[in-house]
Amino acid sequence: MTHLHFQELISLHVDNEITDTQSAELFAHLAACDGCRKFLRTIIRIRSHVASQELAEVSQTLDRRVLEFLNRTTAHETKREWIAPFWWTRIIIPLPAAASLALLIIIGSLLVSPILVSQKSPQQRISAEEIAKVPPEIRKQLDMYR
Amino acid sequence: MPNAFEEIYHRYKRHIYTFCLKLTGNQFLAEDATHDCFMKMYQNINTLSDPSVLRSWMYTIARNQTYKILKKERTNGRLEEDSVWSPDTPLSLAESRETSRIVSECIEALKPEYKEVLILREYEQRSYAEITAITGDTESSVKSRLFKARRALAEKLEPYFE
Repeated sequence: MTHLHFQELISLHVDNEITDTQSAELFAHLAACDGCRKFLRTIIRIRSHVASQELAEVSQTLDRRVLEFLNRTTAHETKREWIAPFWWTRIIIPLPAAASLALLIIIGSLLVSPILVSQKSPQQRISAEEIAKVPPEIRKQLDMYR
Repeated sequence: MPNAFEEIYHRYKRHIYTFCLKLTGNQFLAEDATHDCFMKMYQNINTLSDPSVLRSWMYTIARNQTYKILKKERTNGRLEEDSVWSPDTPLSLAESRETSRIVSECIEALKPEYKEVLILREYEQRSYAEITAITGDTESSVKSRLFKARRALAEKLEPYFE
């Protein structure tokens, strides 16, 4: 087995990805190999320096860019919610208009019909001269039916 | 939904931004990648059926968006088996005295394909299985790249640890 093989095992070992058999093999080698022990120490020290580093701060510019994108997308989605489907527009616009028209017709007919009823009968439109021509017996009969 | 997503943004923004920053080594590219990542997440959040994989899913998107941006910025050569260092980022070890900063600079100088597995393992503590899911690689490829990155760093940094 070469040092390269054991250094690969060291890489697996620091990640807890080593099997028990490999671990036994590695530690047996480390007991006798200064170079590989040095390699293990260096890897661990690199890791500790990395762990000491904090997460980078996000700039206000980036925050603004992302939040503006979210706000724009929200506004667009809200607008889209109010766009009615095609079949709905076929009903929703003419329906109130038709209902209003029907109502006007009904009200109009209710207002106009008393006027129509109260209009003079054809008989009352006949002139006095023409009435005089009608024989008295018949005139009496007509008066009975008035 | 926007309020819930805002909460997700505020909770994970530093993690994602740090990941993108380590991968790109550039504040402005990292900001673009982070912005694009959260945009993509918001647009596709309904496709996430299992909330337990949210973090892996997030890092996958962040990684993909970062690579998109890096591709636009520069061209990467073919993967050289023997070299893990990016030729575009010269090490400035002589200028830095702090060991942590030296470690960061060395990690930054790695090629993206080595840097990403190291960042996900060392900074984000993702398991091998999660790294595999995020990168889309096989587990053996992830193990191999992680080992090569560590070996290269150890060679560079050993003098500073003695």
